[in-house]
Amino acid sequence: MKPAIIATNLAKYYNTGKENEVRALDGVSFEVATGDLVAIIGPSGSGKSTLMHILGVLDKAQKGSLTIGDVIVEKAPRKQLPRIRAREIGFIFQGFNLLSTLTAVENVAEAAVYTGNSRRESLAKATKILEDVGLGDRLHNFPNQLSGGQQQRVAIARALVNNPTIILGDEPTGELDTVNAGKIMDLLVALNRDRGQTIILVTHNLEVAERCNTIITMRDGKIADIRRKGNHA
Amino acid sequence: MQIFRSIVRRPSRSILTALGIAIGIFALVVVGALAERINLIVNGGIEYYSSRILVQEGSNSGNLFRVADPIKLDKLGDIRAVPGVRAAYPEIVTLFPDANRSGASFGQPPFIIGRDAAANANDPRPLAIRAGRDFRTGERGVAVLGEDLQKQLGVKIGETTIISGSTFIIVGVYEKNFTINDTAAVMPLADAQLLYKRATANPSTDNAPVTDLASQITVFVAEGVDPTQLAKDINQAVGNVKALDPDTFRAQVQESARLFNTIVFGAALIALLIGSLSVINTMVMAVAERTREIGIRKAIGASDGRVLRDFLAEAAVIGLLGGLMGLFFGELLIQYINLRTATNGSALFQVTPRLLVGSYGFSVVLAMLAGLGPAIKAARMLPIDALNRER
Ligand SMILES: Nc1ncnc2c1ncn2[C@@H]1O[C@H](COP(=O)(O)OP(=O)(O)OP(=O)(O)O)[C@@H](O)[C@H]1O
Ligand SMILES: [Mg+2]
Repeated sequence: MKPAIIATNLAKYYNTGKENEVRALDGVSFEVATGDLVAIIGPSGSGKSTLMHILGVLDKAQKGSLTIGDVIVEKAPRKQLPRIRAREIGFIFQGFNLLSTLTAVENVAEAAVYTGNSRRESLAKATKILEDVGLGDRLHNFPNQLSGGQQQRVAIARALVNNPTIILGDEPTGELDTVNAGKIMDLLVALNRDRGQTIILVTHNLEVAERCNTIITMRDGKIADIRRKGNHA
Repeated sequence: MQIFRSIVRRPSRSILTALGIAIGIFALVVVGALAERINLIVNGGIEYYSSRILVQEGSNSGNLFRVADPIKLDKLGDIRAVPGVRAAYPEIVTLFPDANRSGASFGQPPFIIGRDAAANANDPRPLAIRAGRDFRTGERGVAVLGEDLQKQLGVKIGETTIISGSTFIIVGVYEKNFTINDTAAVMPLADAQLLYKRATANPSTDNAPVTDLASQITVFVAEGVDPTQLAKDINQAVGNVKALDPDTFRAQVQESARLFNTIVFGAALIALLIGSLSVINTMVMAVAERTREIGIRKAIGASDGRVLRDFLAEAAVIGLLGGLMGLFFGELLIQYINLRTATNGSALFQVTPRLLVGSYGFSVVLAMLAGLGPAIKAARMLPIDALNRER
């Protein structure tokens, strides 16, 4: 099967040429098979978030090439990028990044509106998916009226609502206790198994990492190790 | 709906934004209303002369604010006989030398004007009474002061003052109209003739009876008659006179109102500047504050165009509401000041429809334009840059 993501020699430097130059990503190449469940681990500052942002088309690499599905991102016209973000990718931020002026259901529906659903369809989809993540009774709460774990689940629901081919989670269980982190992982593992969605997670939690099929270890902006287990090539 | 939600969920931010725009419009409306008022008065001055012709002795220069050589009143009959003349009244205009000239109004000297009570009553553009009353036919020893002169002399209605050695009771004050009347003590013709006779030792008038004295004859133009043409007709029909038409005076009125206009224009310019800066600053801040939100929307797939549209729609709503607020408080302040000043004369501000529509439209459009630049910039940012933007 065609890979979901091909990254070739991706690089991102901050403060290039200055004394405080940082090579956040320094020539990163790897492939993610469609339907894989990948964990990215590594010490703080090793470039995990930088990589995720580039994979999510939220940021641009300065060098290298990135292919998502059929699209070569750096060659795609500017106008196509919002479409990729909306349809191909569901991004779960570590800090949730919910819109504070919208309720839980509206936050999730907002993403559905961007793929061309009517408001009413979007709200229906959002309600359904929030029920799936166990927030059926918190639909109309604003983010500041929800616990950290509940906000995290809203953010996950938002990433899922457009049924993207790739789900990217930057420490999606980081804010959660072990019990809730386990529940979220159960959900993601089920999505990966049942719907075949490709999932890449950044995590510091080794239990979470161990539930993935591929574990990529980063160090100093480079990939230090890729460990695959099971039948994923 | 999203737009209103976003406005309502952030009441303090929305109110502050609206307030910034409100202050802009407020400044525009208040100073604008002052300018409109002045404009009205100056136009009033021009209009004052538009319906009259002044006939002076042929040797005169024709400057409104100069004292003319006396004219012989035997010419009154000839002038009245010229077709197109509705009415003609003799008038005395002479300097008021003993009025304290400190703080005089824009260099225009104080005058003594004598005219028939009937002249102002029949005037198509009569002088408006600001306080007190006009003098009546047959009345003597009374005077009505122009607004500037009254302020300068500091006399109140009902008090007496000495004008060229005679005592007069001040019965009223005329509203300012940017004419010679503003710095004049206007009195019955007969009183002025006596003062004039006393003050001028002029061989050509020394033998004339005091009732024949005048410095000019004011002619009111009949309905539908071209004053310029009539002035020419009078010059031809009556010998050795100089008939001055409204065009001659327009420039003189504008000249005397020029400093005033400059001040008002400057004030309006400052108001425009403050108003615009307030609006622009408000909108730029509003976009900056929302860069993170824009980043989130873009990260989950909003197109640049969509972000921009939503933002501008919201800006428009806040702009329209803030604008209404500004209009409301501007109008409130104006009403209040007008009420306070109305007790001693005329209103200070003039709120015109064009002013309201103009400042409202200007500010709302400016708000949208001011928001547009930074909003486009924010909408085109990489999502991650917008998200990482510090506030
Ligand atoms: N905007 C920026 N400007 C300068 N340096 C940056 C910027 N963003 C990230 N960096 C640097 O790039 C490197 C990689 O950062 P990144 O956030 O990708 O690390 P990370 O692996 O996600 O760390 P953590 O586990 O703490 O989240 C770090 O050294 C960081 O300081
Ligand atoms: Mg990180």
